[in-house]
Amino acid sequence: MKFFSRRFWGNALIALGIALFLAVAYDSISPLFPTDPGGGALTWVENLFKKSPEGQDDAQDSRRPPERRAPRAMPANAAAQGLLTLNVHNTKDNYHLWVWRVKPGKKTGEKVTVEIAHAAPGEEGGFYIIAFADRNGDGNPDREIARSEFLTSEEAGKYSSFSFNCPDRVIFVGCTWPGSKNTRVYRGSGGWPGSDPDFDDRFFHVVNGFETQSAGPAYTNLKVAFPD
Amino acid sequence: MGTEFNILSLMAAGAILAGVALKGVFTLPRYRITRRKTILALAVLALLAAGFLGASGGVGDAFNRNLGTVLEPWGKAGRQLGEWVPAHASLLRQVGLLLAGAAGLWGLVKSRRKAFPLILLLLALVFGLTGAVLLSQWNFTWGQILLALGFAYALAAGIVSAPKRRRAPMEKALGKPNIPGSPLAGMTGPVLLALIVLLAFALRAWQIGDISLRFDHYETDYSRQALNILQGRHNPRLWTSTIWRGLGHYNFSPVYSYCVAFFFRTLGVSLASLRLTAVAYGTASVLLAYGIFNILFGRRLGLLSAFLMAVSPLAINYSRIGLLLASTQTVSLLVTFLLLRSLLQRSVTSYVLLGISCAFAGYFYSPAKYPILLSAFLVVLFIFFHRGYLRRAWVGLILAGLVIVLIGEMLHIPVGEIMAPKFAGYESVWHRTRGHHYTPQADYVRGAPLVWENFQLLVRSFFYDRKFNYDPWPRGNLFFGPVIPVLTLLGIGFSLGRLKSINYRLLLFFLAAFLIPNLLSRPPVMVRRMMVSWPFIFCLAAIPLSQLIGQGRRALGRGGSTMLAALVILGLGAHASFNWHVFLHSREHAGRWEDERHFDDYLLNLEAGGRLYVVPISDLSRKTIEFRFLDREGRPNRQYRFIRAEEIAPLARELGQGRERGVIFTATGKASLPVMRRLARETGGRLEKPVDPHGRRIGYALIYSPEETVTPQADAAHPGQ
Repeated sequence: MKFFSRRFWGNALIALGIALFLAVAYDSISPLFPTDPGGGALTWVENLFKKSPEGQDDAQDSRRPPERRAPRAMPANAAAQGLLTLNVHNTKDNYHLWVWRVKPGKKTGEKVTVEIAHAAPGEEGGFYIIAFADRNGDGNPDREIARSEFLTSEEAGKYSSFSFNCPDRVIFVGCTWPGSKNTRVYRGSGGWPGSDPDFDDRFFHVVNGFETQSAGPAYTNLKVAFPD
Repeated sequence: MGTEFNILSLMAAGAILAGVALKGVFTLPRYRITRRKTILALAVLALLAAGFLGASGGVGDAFNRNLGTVLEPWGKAGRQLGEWVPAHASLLRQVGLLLAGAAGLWGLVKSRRKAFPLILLLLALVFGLTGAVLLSQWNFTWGQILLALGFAYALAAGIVSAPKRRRAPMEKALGKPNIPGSPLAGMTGPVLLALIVLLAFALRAWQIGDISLRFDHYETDYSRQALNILQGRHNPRLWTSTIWRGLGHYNFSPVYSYCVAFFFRTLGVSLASLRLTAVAYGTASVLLAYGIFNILFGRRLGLLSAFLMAVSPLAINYSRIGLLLASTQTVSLLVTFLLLRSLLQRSVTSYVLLGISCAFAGYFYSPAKYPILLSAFLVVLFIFFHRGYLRRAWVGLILAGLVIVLIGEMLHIPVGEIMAPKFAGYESVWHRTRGHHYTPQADYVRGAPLVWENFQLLVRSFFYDRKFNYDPWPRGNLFFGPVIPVLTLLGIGFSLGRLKSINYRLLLFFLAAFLIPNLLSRPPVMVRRMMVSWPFIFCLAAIPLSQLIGQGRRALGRGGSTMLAALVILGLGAHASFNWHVFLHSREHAGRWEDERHFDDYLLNLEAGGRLYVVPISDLSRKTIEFRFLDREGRPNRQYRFIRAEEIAPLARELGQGRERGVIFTATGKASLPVMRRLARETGGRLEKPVDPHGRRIGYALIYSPEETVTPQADAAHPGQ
């Protein structure tokens, strides 16, 4: 390498320019990336050697057995409204659907009324009440059978209801909300409170006809009734 | 981006320019070709930038109009050719046989043994193409026999033409970019490449908003993401999801979202701008295909492959759809290109770029996972089986690894998990019953016949069906045209004959690696997942043509080679023209997405002003309507309201009583014609029943206009009575 050659200094200047350009680019784009330093490659390598990684996403947590936890004591006015939880969860566009299976034997009629509480007023807490059936008998939802209009409420904690008829024995009810929005929902961790809840503890968050994914246990302010 | 950004960027650019000047790139004679190539590249970039601006419609319709004066007649010529060739098939066969015989005899007389590969190649082409003609006439027995004979002759041509000398070092054996005296040496090759890239762009960008008419809500999902970004509401958590990206709804690709946002910012919000993102990726794919095959085989085959890809209706169509499809192909080809450069050309920079590409490849549609897996596999293979590779490449390998770690740490993204998700952990073929219904329990025994069924479907689609439509979710439609499948078969035969050469081995390996895993999908998914293998298919198809010119030069000399090259160019021109006709004049219905597009277009063409109520086809079709009603700044440009079917009657009465102009437009599935007729009579509205070009009814419109109010009929029955 000739230290005083034009080629050497030319290459050095080019390298300097590229380094400066990369620094400027990094400075510009880094706000667009997550700020949490926990997601890097070193963390991944560390996780390889951990036996049971903690803090898994809902979407990845499909094997853990459900843990039944005692529900926290609810304020009196919330309980009077029929709310099971006041814990508001920001979905942050991570999932757009959750439906729970109505336990066998709980469905007593063809007419179904579903009620779900809004965790925020307006569109932020808006959702479509949705129901699926299990038509291939595998125990998972596969066919959408009912969907409400987009439902909103003027204040948080109010229930919206939707009724439909369905002859299927196994149904899944819950709600779905538009993508690209940080819709808020009520979400309690653990199994459903009460001694004989109407729903399974795990919920399905991906149902697309070919694949289903479940997660949980979790519950929300959801009621189902069979008026017939 | 503030002043500091601009100043520092200018300083960086200045340093690079000063460095380049100091090295003498602007003045020294040895950089003359580099200077010319740079000027050519800048000119192409400038033309492309102008093309993007024109195609977006931001500066009027001159782009579509001017390009149309060339492309429309070209498509018509392709249509005439498609009618003329079958009508004169016997004449063409005789002329072809005569030419092949004459070339073979000429070669035998001129150079005897050197002419054997050319004669075998000519026989392969004659038998292969005749077999294809017979197959198209449903003569399966003789068609298949002649195809098999063509394959055998191509194999023999490969074996006979293999160099007998001791093998040269690997990197010298690959690619012959600058053979002195070759017609493609110097600037001819780059100029041809520039023309192919511009042609690819023109075919992909012309009338981008209107061909095809299909437009689905998955495409608008990315427009929503991009608009959120432009409004400062980006979602950094998209970078942390390690699930492979689907085509919409969930798991949006942040990389693609930012690309769409960039196009919206620079070209304005429109359907054209949304799709031009895919056009950019599709055009880059053509360039990368050239890069890959230039490394493996040299300029001639690189150019031929790039041309076949540029004019393929399948590639054109998928590059005009605003989904992750084209970008996934581009990223996969980029990883493959950098991998080949790293492995075969001792380029440390390529290793660094390969690391960067792999780190972000997980943010694309699932087939992008295969190049990462292949990169790891080939690197390991070279380490163990290629003497001296590790000694030569250890710096590059370490740098690639470091770059991956650095990206993960500095950008806080889980690069490792993105690059190494559960490979092939979930393939839909194992979860299907014989009737193609989903089951959660994987069954590998039950799935095996379905893999065979998929394979048969591909073969049938490849050789016989030749169907093309604009829908990216067709049930296994895989249009390559009448010539490409035969040439691919001959290319495979020739490559098998040359299996001792590493470039042919790599070509067949990549084709298998990008094709075979996709047999584990559902048929419609299989077609779009095998996008990455298309360039390799085009390269195999180009091999007989390239060899014809190359062997022609060896056997017939310069004159004969020029004649054969002219015939090949003529054939390619005809092929391109027919392909363009297939794309341009496709009349196959593109499914529900086309129906929805007609619905949206009718709404858009309604006279502005007054009230507009819409009962959409479904909740999801609201998305496309919302997008189409945006102006170039991304703001709604018209007041309208979505209503339920039950609201039609009260709103119609309200509009009938008022003095304001108003329209209620409903999907046909949401209201019946008798009810709408009765409502029109009762409320004094005018009922329109628009139909699409296929004669399908688009919807029902109740139009209320004060100047043309029809007197309501007092005795009209009440809806519901």
